[in-house]
Amino acid sequence: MQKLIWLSDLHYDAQALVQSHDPRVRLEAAVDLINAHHTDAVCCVVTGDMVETASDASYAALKAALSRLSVPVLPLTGNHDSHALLRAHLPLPDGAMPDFVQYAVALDGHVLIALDTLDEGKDSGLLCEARLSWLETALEAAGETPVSIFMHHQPVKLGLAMLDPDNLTNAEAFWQIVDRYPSVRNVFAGHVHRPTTTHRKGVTITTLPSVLYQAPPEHPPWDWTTFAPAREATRLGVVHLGPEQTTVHFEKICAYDHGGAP
Amino acid sequence: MKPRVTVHLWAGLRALTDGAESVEVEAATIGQMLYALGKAYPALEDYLEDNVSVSVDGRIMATDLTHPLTETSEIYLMQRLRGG
Repeated sequence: MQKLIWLSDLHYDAQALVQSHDPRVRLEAAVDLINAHHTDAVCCVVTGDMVETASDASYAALKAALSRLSVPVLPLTGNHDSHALLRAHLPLPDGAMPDFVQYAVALDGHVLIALDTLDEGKDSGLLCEARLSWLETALEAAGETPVSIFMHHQPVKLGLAMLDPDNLTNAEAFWQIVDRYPSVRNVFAGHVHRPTTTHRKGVTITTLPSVLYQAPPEHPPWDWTTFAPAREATRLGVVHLGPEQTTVHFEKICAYDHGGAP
Repeated sequence: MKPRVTVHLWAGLRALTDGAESVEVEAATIGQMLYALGKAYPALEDYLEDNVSVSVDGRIMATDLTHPLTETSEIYLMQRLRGG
């Protein structure tokens, strides 16, 4: 059994508050928790929306904040990111796909695949033909070794009325490939800022709260004109990958008031 | 004479430099810097080929070992995982 740490939706900014939350305080708390209790993790995966606004300044500040992490970081793109700027500022594993933030990492008895679902200029996600073809090649190369896929945009409808429209728009094409590879055990996604679990044809799809702010639950109903972040504590995922099972612990990073909106 | 450059280390690498957050070596290029780091910190040497990325003045330098360095270059040595 090996352990990795999973963060999502940092929405980092060098100076500003985001949705009245402090991204610097929240990420600092997450790094402190990881350094205190999870230095045995093989890596820390961040499923996208690394920054709130893609700029050199945002990524430079994020790089400085992440430099305190005692475990290697694996960044992914979300709809707030930029392929080029993320690649310019943050380290990727060797062999990463050119021009995208998409790569595979061979862990002990498990293959981690990070997908780049960013469709620049849109909130929804997309895997173009080149990225889908790369995925197919990576799954073929993994053979019978269990695979976990990390991506920002969720490839299934989750029953979240305001968030489902901005999922992976060509999820059908994604599943047409993945369904042919029973080695795929898990999909870990961000984007929705809520914890959910879905089981689909042998694959468990899990989403994670944001490090920064949480989307409201479905009840009472809300829309974008009434949107206000839920006053819920932020969490990280502690993912235990074993040969026969995967277990995810959702661990509180800090109290809501620590960096949360007043 | 080679410039003396300061290399800032990500936290995951500091155990290999006796806890130092930054170290100084004499190097005019990234390749010379990596060589000098390996000589000065043998525990770090095994990591240098595949498990680090180098950032100079805010930009990742993928494979350019000839990229020039000066005493004012902002250099980060970042831990990374091997792809596979």
